Amino acid sequence: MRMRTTARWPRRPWARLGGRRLTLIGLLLALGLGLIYLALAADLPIGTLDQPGHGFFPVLVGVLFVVFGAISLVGEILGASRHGYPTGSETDEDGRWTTLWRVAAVLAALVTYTALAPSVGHVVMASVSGLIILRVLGGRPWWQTITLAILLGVGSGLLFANLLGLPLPGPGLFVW
Amino acid sequence: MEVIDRLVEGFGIISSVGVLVPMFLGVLTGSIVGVLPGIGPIGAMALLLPLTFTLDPTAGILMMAGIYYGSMYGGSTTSILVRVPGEASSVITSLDGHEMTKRGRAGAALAVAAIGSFIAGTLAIAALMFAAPTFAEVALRFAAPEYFALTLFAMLVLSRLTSRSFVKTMVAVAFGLALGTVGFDNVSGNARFTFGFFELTQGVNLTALAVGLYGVAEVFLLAERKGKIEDLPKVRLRELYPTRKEFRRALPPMFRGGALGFLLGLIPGPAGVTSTYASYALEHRLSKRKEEFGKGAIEGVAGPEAANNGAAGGAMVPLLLLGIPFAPAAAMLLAGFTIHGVIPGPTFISGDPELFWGLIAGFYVANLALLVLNYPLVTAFTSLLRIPRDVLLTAILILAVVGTYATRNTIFDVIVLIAMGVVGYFMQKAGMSRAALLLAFVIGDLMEQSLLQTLTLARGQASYLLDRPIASVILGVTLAVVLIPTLVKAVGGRLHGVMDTAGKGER
Repeated sequence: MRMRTTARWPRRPWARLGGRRLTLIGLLLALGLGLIYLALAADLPIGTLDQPGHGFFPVLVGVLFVVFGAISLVGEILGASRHGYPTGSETDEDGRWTTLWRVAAVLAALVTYTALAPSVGHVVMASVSGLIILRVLGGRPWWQTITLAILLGVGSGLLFANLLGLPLPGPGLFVW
Repeated sequence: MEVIDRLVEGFGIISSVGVLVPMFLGVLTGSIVGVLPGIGPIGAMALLLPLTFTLDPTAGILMMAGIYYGSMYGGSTTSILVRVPGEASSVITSLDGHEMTKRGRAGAALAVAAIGSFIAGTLAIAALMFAAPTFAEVALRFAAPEYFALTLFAMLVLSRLTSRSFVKTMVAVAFGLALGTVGFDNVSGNARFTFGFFELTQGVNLTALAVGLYGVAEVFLLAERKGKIEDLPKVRLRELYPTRKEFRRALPPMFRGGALGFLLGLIPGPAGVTSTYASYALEHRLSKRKEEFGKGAIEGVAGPEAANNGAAGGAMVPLLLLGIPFAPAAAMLLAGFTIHGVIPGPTFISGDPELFWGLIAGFYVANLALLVLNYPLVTAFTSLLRIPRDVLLTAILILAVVGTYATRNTIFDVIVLIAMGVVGYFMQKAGMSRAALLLAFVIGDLMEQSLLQTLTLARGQASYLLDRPIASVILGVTLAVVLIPTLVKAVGGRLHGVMDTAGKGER
């Protein structure tokens, strides 16, 4: 008879990338950032206690960053080994691949806008990015999604550039 | 009487279309932002910050104050009607407010929330007005060591109060301070951490940072879940009044909540939120009808709603008279002041009396505008929730990107915006305080300047700080606030351990 193991590697490892795992990634990134910051700050002139240089405060901040970052990370790791990783998370849907995928898609839409808007223009890129976000978050029929995306892109261009006179990235469509 | 005369002059200063229209727009925007989940008051204040460039300082600052006040009230509308708090300070209102809606008393709950907010807001401004001259005189004795002690107090106490984990919040504080050191150093004039980017010489853009942390991150968090508002109850204007009995029950909590909120607003931390919990607990304790709490007790709506508006008034005291924000919204207001070349602090009243009293008068009018606007427009505000969630979130992101780009006309700030959105998302997941990061970023510069000046003055002598009584007291209180909870926890844990061992021994 084949024994079923309870602890097996999930078919999609990212499927459980939520809850405490996401916290650990966040804290690890914070500690890494703190170490880089401290290394850069240490290159600045620190001065003495009665004549501090412009690197004095950054070094203090860097030490604070690294010390508290390390304590948080160790605390979280100890907490995880004591309580185990939650299969879901603290909230209903956190940590499920489907929900993280939606966040990643919104982020990708924003990055696309930032990369292309200076050359293509706000109206086109707001429509394209809007299309991605609306499709991911709304799940409407395509024709509705496309219409709404164009309306948001053109509408925002008209509102911000024409009505409010704000500068928009890239060449302006409909700006007169 | 001098105070009253000055106030009358203040009303004269703001009696122009150029000031009143932006202020009303601020109140209206704040109310809308409070209703809609997503961008939040901090994000909205950050986004509208560039719009105030072209305005008169009084008008610009009042517009931002209007958003702050408006958002405090706007959130309660949806809390009461559909149990969807637009922002954190309205969460507690939803407990009894929504129960009142279910019992057909939505109009009464909304009216009590509006009147309570107005009473508390007005009382808080009156307290600020009468206390300001005395407070400013004391604050005039403050020099670099006292300012350093105060900034340390603000950061550490906020860290203690904003999150369950002090250590994690300190990571957020360090990150905020680190971001604040980017760009030209105000003391020596040297550029730091710019990596050759011209945009970074002026420092990290505050709008990009605040909108990213609060607006974009919130959209990421909302994107995780699907959800929509099912039914919006209709509230007619003629239903917007409490019965005589309800009003009698609600009046004392309004005053108590307002006073409690004002006092908590003087302490660093998210007083807008903590004051509502404190007020709810107080009303529950004092009530003769404890069983009604959670089932539609009008005291549970009146007290917390008054408290968060009282806290908004209280938060103005350290901001206007010390120039140090004790809460994120106050930090955004400080940014508004700085943009207009106004430096709030002990000399603010004597140095720029027209602006100070104009602002005080404006705060009164903003509170009144809140009552006048929100009462008839309650149905209109609530119907904003009918906007489909996907369209709303997309529109918020477009607004965030365009608003941030417009501040300095560079795509670099949009990159910072997105990066801060990701940071804010991870911070929420990790249970770190975004408020601590924002506050540290804003007051970090003052902290560095005062620390370096103190060290130079002290010539390496640690006793220098102890020779200054005000600084010593502030540092002592800070140390106590930080250490006492840790010590209590440690002693409590040890006692538990001893009791357990004793218990096992008896068995």
